[in-house]
Amino acid sequence: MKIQRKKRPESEVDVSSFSDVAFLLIIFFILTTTFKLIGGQELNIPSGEDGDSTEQKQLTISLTGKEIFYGEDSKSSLTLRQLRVQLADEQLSTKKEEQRMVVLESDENVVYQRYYNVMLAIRDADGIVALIERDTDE
Amino acid sequence: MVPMASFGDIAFLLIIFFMLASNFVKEAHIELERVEAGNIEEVDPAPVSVSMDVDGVCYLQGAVQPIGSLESAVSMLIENADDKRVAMTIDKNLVYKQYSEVQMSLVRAGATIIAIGDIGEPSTKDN
Repeated sequence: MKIQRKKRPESEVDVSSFSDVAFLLIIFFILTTTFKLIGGQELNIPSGEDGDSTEQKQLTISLTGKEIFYGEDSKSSLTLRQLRVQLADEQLSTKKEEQRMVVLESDENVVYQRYYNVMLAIRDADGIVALIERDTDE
Repeated sequence: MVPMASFGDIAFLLIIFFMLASNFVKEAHIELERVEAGNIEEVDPAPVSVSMDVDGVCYLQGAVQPIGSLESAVSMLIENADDKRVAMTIDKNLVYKQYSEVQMSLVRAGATIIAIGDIGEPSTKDN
């Protein structure tokens, strides 16, 4: 007797909805991705470990809560724009590295945005920011 | 009828592109307002990041880090690295007594500091 085998039904995964899922994922990524330009300035701050303490006169900028003083003995404050002009007049780019140091002093209540703007002004004038570290027991 | 068979392939290629090109920010949970300046350049991401949020809490690589041990922690991360750049992001309203120690710690650790800010309109404020 001839046994007739039952034909198995062909199994097939339906992939037609894969592209729908893929497009949904794309739409998700397009909507959630934000392209943001992040900028920054490289601060070439000397560590001071191998620096000799020279008697060379260095430019000093002092920041208080609202004012900017240029030079150690300065009594009149400058605006940021005037500071940029003063720094440009120094022609720091033509000087040696040690003469390009600009000592930046700051009061403890100077907000970071102002401090950052002054650091940018020094950098734009080809100066090198030098920080003063105060002793904690002072 | 328009053949739609290759649409799925294109879609998956686009997904792969987005997944590879996306750079998820480690510090997304840190609440801070970055400084804005018009004359700063776009920078490549630095391998190490240090942030200080609106409350003056310090973070290293996105995790809270006491300022007292920041110097040694950063030193360990960069001492054998070729790239010693450290991205420093500080809330723009913090005052010097809060952020100065972060800055000094990075200098003492021998890091090349990249002070991060948003590229915005040039400041119209004079002071």
